[in-house]
Amino acid sequence: MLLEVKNLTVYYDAVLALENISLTVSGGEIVAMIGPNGAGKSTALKAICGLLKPQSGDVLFQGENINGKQPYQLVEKGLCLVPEGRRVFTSMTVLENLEMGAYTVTSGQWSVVSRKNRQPKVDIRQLVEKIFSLFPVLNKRQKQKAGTLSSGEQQMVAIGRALMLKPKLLLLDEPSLGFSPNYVDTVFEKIKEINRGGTTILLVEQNARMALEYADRGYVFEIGKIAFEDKAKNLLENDEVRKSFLGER
Amino acid sequence: MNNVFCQLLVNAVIAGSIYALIALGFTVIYRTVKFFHFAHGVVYTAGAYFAYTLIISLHLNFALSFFLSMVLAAILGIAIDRFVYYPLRQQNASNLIFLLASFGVFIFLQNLIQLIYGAQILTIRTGPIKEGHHFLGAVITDVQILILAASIILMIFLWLFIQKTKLGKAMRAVADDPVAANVVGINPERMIRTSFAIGSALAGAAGILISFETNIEPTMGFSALLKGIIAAIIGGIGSIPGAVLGGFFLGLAENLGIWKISAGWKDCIAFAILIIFLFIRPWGFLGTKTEKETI
Ligand SMILES: Nc1ncnc2c1ncn2[C@@H]1O[C@H](COP(=O)(O)OP(=O)(O)OP(=O)(O)O)[C@@H](O)[C@H]1O
Ligand SMILES: [Mg+2]
Repeated sequence: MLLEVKNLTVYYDAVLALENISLTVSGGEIVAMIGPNGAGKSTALKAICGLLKPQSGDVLFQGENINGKQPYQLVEKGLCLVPEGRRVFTSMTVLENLEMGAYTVTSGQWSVVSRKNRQPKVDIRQLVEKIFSLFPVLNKRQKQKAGTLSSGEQQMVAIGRALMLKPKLLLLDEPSLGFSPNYVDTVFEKIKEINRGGTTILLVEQNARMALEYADRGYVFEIGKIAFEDKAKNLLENDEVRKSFLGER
Repeated sequence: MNNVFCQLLVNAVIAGSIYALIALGFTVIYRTVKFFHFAHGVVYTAGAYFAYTLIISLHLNFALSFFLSMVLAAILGIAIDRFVYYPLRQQNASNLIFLLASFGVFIFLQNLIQLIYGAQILTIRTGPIKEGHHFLGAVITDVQILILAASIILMIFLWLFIQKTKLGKAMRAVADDPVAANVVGINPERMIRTSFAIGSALAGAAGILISFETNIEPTMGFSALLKGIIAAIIGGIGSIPGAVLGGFFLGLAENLGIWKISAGWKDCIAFAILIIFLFIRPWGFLGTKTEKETI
């Protein structure tokens, strides 16, 4: 099991946001988390990667307990979050944003990253090229400030940045947000492509139907709890899920 | 052009470079912590007293004293963060609490300096005042040339550091979005410490440079802090080139403003400019318009 979440409970001050949820992700899967607004999906992702401190429960990554670890400590272990709402480094160029994705592996703090390092631990250029081949638009925009990109392009930067080090597990919070409706398909194709490249994916989506079509398994959240969990195919066929969560009559 | 004007211009540039250094340090810190670190003013004072101690009491040479005083100012900045702000961050304190704490630190350290050195004026300059160089009808002294040169060198270093080095880029990333920085692997606490070190070294440098030029006293930090903050605001809060621009602009406005009116109006001019900016261009010269200012 790549990721194991056991009995997680999260409060915001006195407000209960997640109550005793458990979920698992095995290597190679795409797992989708769906559910209405405010159900606690983002909270779950934040608690898994350490952006939030849960009241109780355990998070195990590759069998290791990562409770109390901060996101920056998990990047090196291969767990990476793309937070809700893009969050690119607005004043930095696309290229610099991608470089920051490789922050943990580039050499010395005082060294100049963008220039060819004398003894590179990694070839940043090569990593960047991989991202450009996934999102070719970014290649043309590499010198542009990320804050001036369209929202879809910013989302590509945010995803590309998280992919720089080819994480073992990628947490995606609403990856299709900001893309035009007819591009959402393409986004999911990209996610599939990333997954085939060896990255396991746990994602949150408002495009519930689409997410389940591409996912292997799914969790349906309802006000702080998991209401259903099953193979994505089964969820799509489950009448109750279809009625209450996929907007079908 | 007459001599008075040229002399005022020289004074303006010297004052401007000091303001710019203070504003730069303030900005470097503001960008990562997003609150107004008022104790920055007392770090400036401390810089001057460090220089005084090293030069007058320990008889070290100027260059070494300058360097060591900057290091000591950096350490002081880190210590303020570690022992005051860090515990507050752990408790998720509000910005108001940080503001009050930073005032408290300011007053505490100012009084501590007064306790150690006394309230009287001290001076580092020894021997007779040297005749300055004549330059376009104005007089500029060696010390003033040193102030200008040192400030410009520090500004260039800071710029290269922020733009080119890995650590500088990480600091920009944290300034843009601390959460995004955290998820790419940047330890936010470490960047906060770094910004306190660099920002405080700059404030210290301003205090050291001014101590070569004028007398020093424990209360000198307050008006310097105000000028630095005004410069940072009119330059565009959070903008590094803005801090430099704001500093020189303020120095020019203050010093050229008193060309025709009495010198007693200097501070009044500074605040008038601040108020004008707050009314018509609150984001300053180079700040971003959309950013919500949090004090
Ligand atoms: N910082 C916070 N402080 C207080 N309450 C919060 C905070 N963040 C989220 N909440 C609350 O916790 C609950 C779960 O929020 P969360 O963001 O996890 O929902 P979500 O499932 O991601 O919703 P959406 O689909 O709208 O993104 C909501 O009721 C929300 O109001
Ligand atoms: Mg959400």
